[in-house]
Amino acid sequence: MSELQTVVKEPLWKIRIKLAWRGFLKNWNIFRQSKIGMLGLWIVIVFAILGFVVYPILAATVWRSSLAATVSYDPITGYDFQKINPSHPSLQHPLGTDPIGRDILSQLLYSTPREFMLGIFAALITVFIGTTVGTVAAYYGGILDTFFMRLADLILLFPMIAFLIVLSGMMKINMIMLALIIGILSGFGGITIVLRSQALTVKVKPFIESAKVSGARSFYIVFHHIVPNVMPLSFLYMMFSVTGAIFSEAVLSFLGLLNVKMSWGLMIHTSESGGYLLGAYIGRYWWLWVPAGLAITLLCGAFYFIGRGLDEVVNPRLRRR
Amino acid sequence: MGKYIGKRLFQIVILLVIYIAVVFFILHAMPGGMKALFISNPRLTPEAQQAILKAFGLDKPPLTQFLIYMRNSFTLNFGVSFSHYPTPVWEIIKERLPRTALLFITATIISFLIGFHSGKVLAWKRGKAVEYVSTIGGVVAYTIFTPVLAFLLIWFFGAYLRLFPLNQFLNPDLWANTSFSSQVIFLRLLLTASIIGAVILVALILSYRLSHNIRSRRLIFYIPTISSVVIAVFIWWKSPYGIYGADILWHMVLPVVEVTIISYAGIMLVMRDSMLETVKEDFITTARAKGLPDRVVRDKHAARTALLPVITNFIISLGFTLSGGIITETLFSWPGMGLAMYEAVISHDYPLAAGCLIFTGIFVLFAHLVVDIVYAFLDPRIRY
Amino acid sequence: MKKLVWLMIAIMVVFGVIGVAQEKIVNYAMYSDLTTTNIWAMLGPDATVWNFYPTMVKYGSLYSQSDVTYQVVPGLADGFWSPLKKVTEDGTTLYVTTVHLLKGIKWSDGTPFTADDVVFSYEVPFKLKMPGNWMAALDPSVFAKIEKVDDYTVKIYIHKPSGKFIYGVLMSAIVQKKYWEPIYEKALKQPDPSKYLMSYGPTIDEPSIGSFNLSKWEKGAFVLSKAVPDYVFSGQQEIEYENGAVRYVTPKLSMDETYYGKAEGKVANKFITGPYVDSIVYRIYQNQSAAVQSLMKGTVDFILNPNGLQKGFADQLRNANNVAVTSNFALGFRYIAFNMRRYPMNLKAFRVAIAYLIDRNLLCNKILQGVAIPLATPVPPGNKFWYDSNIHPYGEGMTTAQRYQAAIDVLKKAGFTWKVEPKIEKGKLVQRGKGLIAPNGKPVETIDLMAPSAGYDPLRATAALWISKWANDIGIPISADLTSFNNIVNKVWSENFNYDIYMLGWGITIYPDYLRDFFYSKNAGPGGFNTPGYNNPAFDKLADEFIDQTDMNKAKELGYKLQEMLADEVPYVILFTTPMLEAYRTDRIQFAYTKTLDGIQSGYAGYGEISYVKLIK
Repeated sequence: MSELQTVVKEPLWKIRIKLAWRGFLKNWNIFRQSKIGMLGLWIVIVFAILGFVVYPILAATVWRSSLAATVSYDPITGYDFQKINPSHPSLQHPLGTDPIGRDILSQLLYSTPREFMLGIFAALITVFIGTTVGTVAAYYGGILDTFFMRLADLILLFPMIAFLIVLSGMMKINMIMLALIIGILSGFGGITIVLRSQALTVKVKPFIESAKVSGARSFYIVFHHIVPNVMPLSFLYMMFSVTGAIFSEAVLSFLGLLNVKMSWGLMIHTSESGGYLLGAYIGRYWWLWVPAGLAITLLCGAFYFIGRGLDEVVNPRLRRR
Repeated sequence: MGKYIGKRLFQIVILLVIYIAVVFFILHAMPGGMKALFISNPRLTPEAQQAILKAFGLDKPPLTQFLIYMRNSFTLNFGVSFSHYPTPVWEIIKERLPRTALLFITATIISFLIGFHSGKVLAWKRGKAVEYVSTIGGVVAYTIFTPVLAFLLIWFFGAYLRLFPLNQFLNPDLWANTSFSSQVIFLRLLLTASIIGAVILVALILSYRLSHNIRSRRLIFYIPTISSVVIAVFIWWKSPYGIYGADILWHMVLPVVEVTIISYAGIMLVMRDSMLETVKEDFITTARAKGLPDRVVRDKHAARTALLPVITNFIISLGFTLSGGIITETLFSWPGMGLAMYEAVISHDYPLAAGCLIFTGIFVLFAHLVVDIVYAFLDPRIRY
Repeated sequence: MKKLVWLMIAIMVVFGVIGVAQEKIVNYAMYSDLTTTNIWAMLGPDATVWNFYPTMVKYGSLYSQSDVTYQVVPGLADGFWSPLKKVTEDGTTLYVTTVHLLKGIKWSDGTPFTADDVVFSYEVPFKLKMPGNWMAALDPSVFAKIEKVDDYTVKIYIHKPSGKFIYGVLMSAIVQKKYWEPIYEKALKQPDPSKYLMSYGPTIDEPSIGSFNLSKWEKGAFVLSKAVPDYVFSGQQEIEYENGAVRYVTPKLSMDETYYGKAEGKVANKFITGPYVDSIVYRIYQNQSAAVQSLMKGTVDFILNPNGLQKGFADQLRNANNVAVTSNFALGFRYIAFNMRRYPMNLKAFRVAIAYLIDRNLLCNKILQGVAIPLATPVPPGNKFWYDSNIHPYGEGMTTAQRYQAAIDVLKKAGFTWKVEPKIEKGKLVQRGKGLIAPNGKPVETIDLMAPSAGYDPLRATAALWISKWANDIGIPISADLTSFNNIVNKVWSENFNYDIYMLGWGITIYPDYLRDFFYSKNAGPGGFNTPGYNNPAFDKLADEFIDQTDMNKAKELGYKLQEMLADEVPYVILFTTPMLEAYRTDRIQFAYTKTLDGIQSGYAGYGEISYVKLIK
């Protein structure tokens, strides 16, 4: 076969990359057919551009303010002395201002990268723990397996939001700690069970047997043969974890329990506790809750959509007939 | 069967012990430890603080403390609430529990029925516009920020259409001169709902076990279901409590709608995936090859097998309803467990917060046990 | 299940909503449930305002305060107490006073009110060492014992003359002996009698001596309070003259008494006691927005709220039909406290510099958009009797640049230097200060300003960020640490004053004994009220004189001196108070007065307003 010839010519790492790239392309083509997945991907890209590119540019140009200005676009200490706040969307403030005169758009954009980081950081921890524990438990079995599976059962028990609420009432939790807690809790939870069963199906495949025969150490087999094969599934669960983390943050901030200076959930909390979200008259100050609420829903939904798209890549049975 | 359930019961008790241990150690890991948490209530006199320390054995070595805490938890002795001093935590949980349980059990059953049926149809309509629309709609409903949905519902139904009452769980004008408390009604409603729920579940299991014919299966399912509902309504109608029960249900509509919207999508998506998996199984292909009509294949063959993961999902979510509704309860003025937990956290009432957390754990574990039993009945592959 | 719900809805339609017979009912909104109706718990560990609103009206006290003007007037007592007399008993010096009780007053169950009730109500909490308000009212360092002379006379013994004697001992709550005695006796047999008393309940059947009595508490939903028929004070006229005199005309007791001067000249206020309605329903909502919506819809007539309405609600209610929004000063203040146990917060110049920098006007009116009212003294101007109008805080009337300049000057004068000195030209800061060096030659390390996070209180969070901005502008390295409320309390009180500067708020009382409590050097120990560790023997001496003074006019002079001393030395910088915004239905109810310190609701926490509310037909 052609691969055999290239082995002679090229160093090993190049082949690895090429193989990985080919695998990626193949999966990408499947993923691309999922309209829902693509929709999610586009939303995520738009948010990423807004948060990581547009905000820094705006903050450094249009929104810069001097020491003695009457308007400041700082998302946390901003103000607008010339307006009656909260003020309607206008040219100066495309999405209006909040009850103490801070620009909603700048708050929205400022929070975007933070939400991303939170979601992705939490998801990475989840997936790292889930993959490691799941594969190790599957490969070694025995007591290790039983222990981690019972642990997962236990964590499934944990009413996550309630637990986080109680915890945040007792100690001050910031974004990084929140990501850590969510990451660790969900890492040892349900995802371990799923990845373990996937790893079990990989474990019995012939190439693992041949690797063993050729004298590979267990550690090497786990991380070089089993882990790469459960990776797509991990990636799928990562997307769901991102959704979970962002959602949890929003709920805790909405209840005013997190120690963050600005976030989408906190934006709604500020206007709610300020008395601007009044059931029947909720439309009157729509700019105080619609942008932030929509952002939370869209970003959570987008990662979930991507997850659904990936589902079809990972799970051939779900593909179109 | 008995042996199997016994085994699960044993495992669940072990899990519960570990769960309480985890909560205990988390409380201990807080700055100042549990001691500080329990006596940090500035409203208490030094004597009262000492009394609390003693009552909870907090002056003893850690291991003894742990054993005492474990014993207390199993006897539902979660201590005395700070914010409701000297009311025991268990009293507060007892007061709040029926309200939450009624609201969320109702909502969960409704969302299960909707989710199950729509998921079934969705899987069959692969690739059509209906699928995209309802999948996207479902995911949006699933991931929508809960408060935003609540705001919209309150505005549309409560304020714009003025269809439903807002903000309270009963109408004080109606209740001003009653001799009984709303708790009585809640308990009776809960009992009614549980009986109907149990009838539905038993009817469902029986219909699958007794018959393979769709029509007779439907009969077995619907006759007990409908008659139990009719009988319940009739009894309520005749009883002097009828109007009060109806008042509570009337106030319950909006929160139920909210919880339903949020949770039906999850069940729908699980059902759809589960159906799709099943559809690829050989026996479905065989059934199709035999030339059976689509509907028959869908309802008789595929849905039955696909139901299992959905039921798991359903019952586990039942367990979580206890704590999951914090936002719903706050925004719809429904003073249940979630709200109790939130208020406890806000007012630094640690015994109450920990008590709610542990109790939720007990409830979730109980739900797990129910899942196991239902599984044992439904899944032909499980043998004991 | 779906079908069940539909059927139930159908039933509802058939039944319709049942109207209640034409009674005069007013509806109030509360947004938290009661935790108890038990008076022992309520004035002990469960002292929440929500418990007080519907319940406190049931109880009486020997003396109380007049409406609006807050003068001490007899309640259940007949005239003022006799002057304190020194007596020696068993070698200890005590002071004794005689108080006569009004005759002809009945509890709602028909039992006459006598000296037995008073003695019982004082002895039980004192003997059981009940915590909270009981302990505060019957402070063991003041209150010694009470004796019954005859059915309508008691003698009260105290350890020393003190303002706490008037505002504490003489105003302690009175319960009915007949109802509580059997329960108290049972309690004495328990291992923890006070806990038994506090957990006794339900106490809905407990008789009332006030204008209303509880009739039903539906947990989580509502509390129903019914007017007491033949309330003895109903029809009583309270006439307040501009010269300070207060006259009470009580037809049912055929009394006409005037206190604090002669009943002459212009009448400032005149109130006639009700009750004017048959019952009050306190509807419990779980959040403010639900309560406000109900007010707009007309389901409730008034919202009881100890913190007042948020600005957003008030803005929207002002536009609503038939709703009036009232604004009063809240009884409380937000402040920053310096830890004077640490360097450089112990330097007066440093504290003064910060005080100069804080522009309350800009902060409250511009930055916080009028949600806060600038306040520079611990006694708010609304507390007319005790407020010292001669207090001029640092930087009053200055612009931001002038404030920077004043702060820089003060620091320079005290020997502070900078690596890069801040520069002000033409009324603008052109160079920010960097590297502040203290008079001891060492650079000033970062100073932590702890304040509640935006989730807990956006006002304080914003204020803290601005204070740190102003300080940083002239090179003072203050960093705002927005953290949980719990964490601040923990650092300040549990970790023995482990802080540099913190920002919190106090709810205060009319009688400003807190002037002493917050700054008295003996209170600077672990867990004490004197968080700054302020230690000034001159202040301590004055504060002692102030608290021991039972002539309130003299006490006022001393109180002024204390306020001036604090304004000069700034252990606290008082920042602002919040307006007490309230709203009620003008088409449904009418209050006797709406202009009063801490708002209309303040009357509901004790006496007063509740008996005045009228229905408009």
